[in-house]
Amino acid sequence: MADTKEFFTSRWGMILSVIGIAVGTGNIWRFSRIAAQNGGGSFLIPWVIFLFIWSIPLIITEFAIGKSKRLGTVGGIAALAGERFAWMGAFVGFVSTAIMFYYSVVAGWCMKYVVNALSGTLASTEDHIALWDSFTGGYEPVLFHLVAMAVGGFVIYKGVVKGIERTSRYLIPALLVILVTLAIRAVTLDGAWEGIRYFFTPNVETLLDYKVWLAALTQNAWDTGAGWGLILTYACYARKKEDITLNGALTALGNNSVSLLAGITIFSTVFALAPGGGITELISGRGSTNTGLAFIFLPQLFGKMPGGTFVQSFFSTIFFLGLTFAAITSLISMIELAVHVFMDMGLARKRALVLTLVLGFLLGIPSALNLMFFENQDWVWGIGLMISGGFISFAVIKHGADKFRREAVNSEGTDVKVGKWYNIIITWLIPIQVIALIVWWFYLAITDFDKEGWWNPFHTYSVGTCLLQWGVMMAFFILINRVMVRRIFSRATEA
Amino acid sequence: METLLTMIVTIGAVWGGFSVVLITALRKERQKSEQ
Repeated sequence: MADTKEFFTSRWGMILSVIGIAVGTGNIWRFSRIAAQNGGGSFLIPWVIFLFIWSIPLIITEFAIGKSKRLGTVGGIAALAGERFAWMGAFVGFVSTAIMFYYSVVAGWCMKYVVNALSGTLASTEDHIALWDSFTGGYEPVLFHLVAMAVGGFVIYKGVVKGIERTSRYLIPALLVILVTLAIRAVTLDGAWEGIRYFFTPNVETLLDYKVWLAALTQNAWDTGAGWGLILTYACYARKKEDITLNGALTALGNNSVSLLAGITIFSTVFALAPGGGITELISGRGSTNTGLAFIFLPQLFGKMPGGTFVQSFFSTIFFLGLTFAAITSLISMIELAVHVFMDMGLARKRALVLTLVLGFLLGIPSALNLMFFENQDWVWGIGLMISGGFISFAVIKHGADKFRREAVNSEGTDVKVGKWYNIIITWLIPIQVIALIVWWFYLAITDFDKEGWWNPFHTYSVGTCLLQWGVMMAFFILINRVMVRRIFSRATEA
Repeated sequence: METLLTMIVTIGAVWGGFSVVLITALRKERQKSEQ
């Protein structure tokens, strides 16, 4: 078995580390624009509902698998569902690792923009589109991707307590202070109330639109870290007395609390500093993509902030610093996931880390150099996450949902016991949500994103590219299923 | 009116829910350390 002698030293150290997984750039740059595009208040209602029927049950499940099996995604799923299904765990782990390849590039972009904000480049530039294009069109993203991988690697090298826990103890509170500071400044701007009103006003017609519900479910699937296998990995280092239910609920609610704070900040800023056209920019203009919002539209708005260049530079610096902290705390969990899987298969921790870092850097380079490649990977593995959620749910069903609930979820240390409602959610509601999401995104690809070439595996946003890349990886993992099982469980028996 | 209602429901469920779970966790933690 992998070296799991290290444990998080306290509940709060663990909670902050797991919140670090969940809170990423998606809370800040995706949540607000998706809320804007789906009717503001009308989006919030289903978003809250899916928090309770997607995020919380899956996070509790991951906590329970990791804590009870003490194995990473491959071993954890195989121990639960049966050795024949180790490949499913490998797929879950690979999806998060494939996301790590390009997420490190995102962390690098954020770091570069901290430098831009600190140096005054953002405050002095007239053309933010040109600044972004010249940065992403050159080789600098590779350099910052390397820096991000090195920082993440250093944290993992220091170990669970001195690395992950200590980093999260500083970065997550710092991120919260930054977000509260930005929120206070945003809501005190003239005209901010209009933004808050837009954000919280529902519209019955929009609320009845199934697309808004699917957008809300997607947001929960992508930004809470539920079903990624990352929380499962950290839970391997949970002390026996850790409470699974409370920790799971705290993680999911903490994550969505951050999203809500970010939403209030961004809507207030947009309506106060770009009255009239700002919301259109957020829905269909420069702010309608993740990178467009964070690296083009918001820097433009910071430039309009009253108080002069110093104030503008201060707020843009802390914004990008917050974005960097959110990215780094998520990135380290992705590195740890891969390292843990390699360790389960017999590699020493240092070797596993070097292998992960080298692979992560090399396979991230195409995304750093080519935004089309980046977008393709984000599409393929973003949808892949929904399959991951389905595989985790399948493992519990195969094991017996009620048995799992009684033995693993309501285990030693869990004070607030989970009732039978959990069985219904994990057996029925999660699979239904997974199917609805995959069908919906494929439907969008066929009818909207790429009508002509939706089948073509070499198109960025096609169904074909998903099926090809998932198919290749699944076939590979099915082929090496026995090898993985032998390596993991022979070691587990020896230990 | 509906804005206020959505605000109460959303903030109540998310921030309120977080606060309730946090207080429960703190209380359980204290009980365990007292034992």
